[in-house]
Amino acid sequence: MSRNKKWIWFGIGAVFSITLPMMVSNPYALQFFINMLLFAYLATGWNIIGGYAGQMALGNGVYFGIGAYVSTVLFVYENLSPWVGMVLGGGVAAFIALLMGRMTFRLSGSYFSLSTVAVLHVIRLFVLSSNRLFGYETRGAQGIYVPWRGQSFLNMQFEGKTEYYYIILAFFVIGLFISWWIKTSRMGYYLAAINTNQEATSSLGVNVMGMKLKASCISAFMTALGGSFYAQFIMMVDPSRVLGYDLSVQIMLYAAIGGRGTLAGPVIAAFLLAPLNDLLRAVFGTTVSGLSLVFYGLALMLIIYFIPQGIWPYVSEKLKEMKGSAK
Amino acid sequence: MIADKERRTVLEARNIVKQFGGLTAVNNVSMHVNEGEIVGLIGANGAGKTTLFNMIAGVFPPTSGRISFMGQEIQGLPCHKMCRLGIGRTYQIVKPFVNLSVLDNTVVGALNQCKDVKSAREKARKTLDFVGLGHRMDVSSRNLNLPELKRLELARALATEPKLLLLDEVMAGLNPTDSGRVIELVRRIRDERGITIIVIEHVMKAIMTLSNRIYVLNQGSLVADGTPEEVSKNPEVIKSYFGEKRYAKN
Repeated sequence: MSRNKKWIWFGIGAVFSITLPMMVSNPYALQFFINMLLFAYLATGWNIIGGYAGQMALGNGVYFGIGAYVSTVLFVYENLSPWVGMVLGGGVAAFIALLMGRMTFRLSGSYFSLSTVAVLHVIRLFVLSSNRLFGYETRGAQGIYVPWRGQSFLNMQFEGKTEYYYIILAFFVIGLFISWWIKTSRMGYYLAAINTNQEATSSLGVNVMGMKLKASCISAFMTALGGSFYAQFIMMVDPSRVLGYDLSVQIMLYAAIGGRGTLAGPVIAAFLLAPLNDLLRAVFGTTVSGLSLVFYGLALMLIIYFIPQGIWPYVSEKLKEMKGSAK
Repeated sequence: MIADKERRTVLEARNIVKQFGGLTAVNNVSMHVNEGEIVGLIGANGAGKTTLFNMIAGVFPPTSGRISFMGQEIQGLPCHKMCRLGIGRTYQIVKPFVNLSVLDNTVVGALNQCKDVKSAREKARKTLDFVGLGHRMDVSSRNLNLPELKRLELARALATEPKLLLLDEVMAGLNPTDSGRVIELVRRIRDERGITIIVIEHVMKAIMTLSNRIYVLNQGSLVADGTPEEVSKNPEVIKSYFGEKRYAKN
């Protein structure tokens, strides 16, 4: 019964998400949904290292930036398809995650978090102050504009927003599947154990360092792909947009507010909060600048105060209670 | 039990020294453990028992000396490799994965030798039945009491299929009834599963009835070894354990 119900919900979700662009003709409204899916995807990626493995990485935005820069530079200067560029960008991000992990995973608790922030700032400042990187003109703070080369799937350039919507939908579904697969596999058990007690985990035959590196690389790869998509979507990259600290915090917040270590939590929080953010900005953005952020921050504080365990754990607990009392 | 002549040496430690800065925690200790034995390790607080365990389990390497397990030199290998070779351990202070159910806690251990999650869950279930936690499988390990947590530690270590099991004070904090049950369980682990065991214990009655042989540590050095009978009569042991002027009554 509950299995059937799950499939019904899944079916409704699938039909709704596929037909959505036909119902929503306003491109601005569609952008809402693209944002939602992008952040749900990014939060799901963060959740693998930050939720399942419990490593409070605060600098995941760095991989977003790396993905964005690598694919864009290769597209602009080498005429390489962003589809190939994003895989290369993901590879670079995973490699950097591996290097950083080897150094920073020895640190514990807040020291680890601080070190990830430091890495982010080092790379951001590096990009910000360099006119050329590896022989390519990246023009520091100005960033790079992606030239329009005509609507084509290979170039990942489209006139409307519908195609972008479908691409990010596919990313999101694949990301969610990867997250589910990890959670239910050997790796999921190991990461959950590492989350609570690393010493006990290693005494049970688990290579703790190896597992954390693996989780970090997968997370970095996923995040970088999101960055590549974003760069193609807004047709530009610059350090403040793709390498900002606030982006990292935002990704982490969605996962934490939704429920760290749960499959659905980060998705639900992103679906609720990303549109809220956009909405507040649309309403107050033009009248009183900064007021939208005040309301947004207030909303976050309320959620964190009243349901510190996260939205999804709270909701599923309530649902269980309701079922229990119904019987 | 296996006949004496057929017994192999499972673990052999030679001239183990461990220094932490200027402090010598373990000083030139040599010991061996044969297949199918239960060997006790006793000594006052700070005698170096847990330090010795940690070296055998790979938490840190010895400063000098050699440890061989099933004929293979293992000193300095990391924890997870020790476990994969077949050395399991429990902790003096229980370390459950509080975010996981009792079953999932055990699955983490069972995955050590299982190819997939499904068979690991099956093995974890059997192991929990064996230690008597079968009825608590789906409970969060956060809700267990101390005797149950000790059993969970045992189940987790057993699920990794060790050849040698290091038990660090599994009876500490238990009342006589509960520790009697644990003694029974430890015996069954040896007899039914053929696992060789080293036990650290402060409960004298427990260690005397359980062990085939006992090693006594005092301030990092080995002061005596032998059968429980021999050890309990050794004046050195009485001195280090009960003080200069007291004598054991039995």
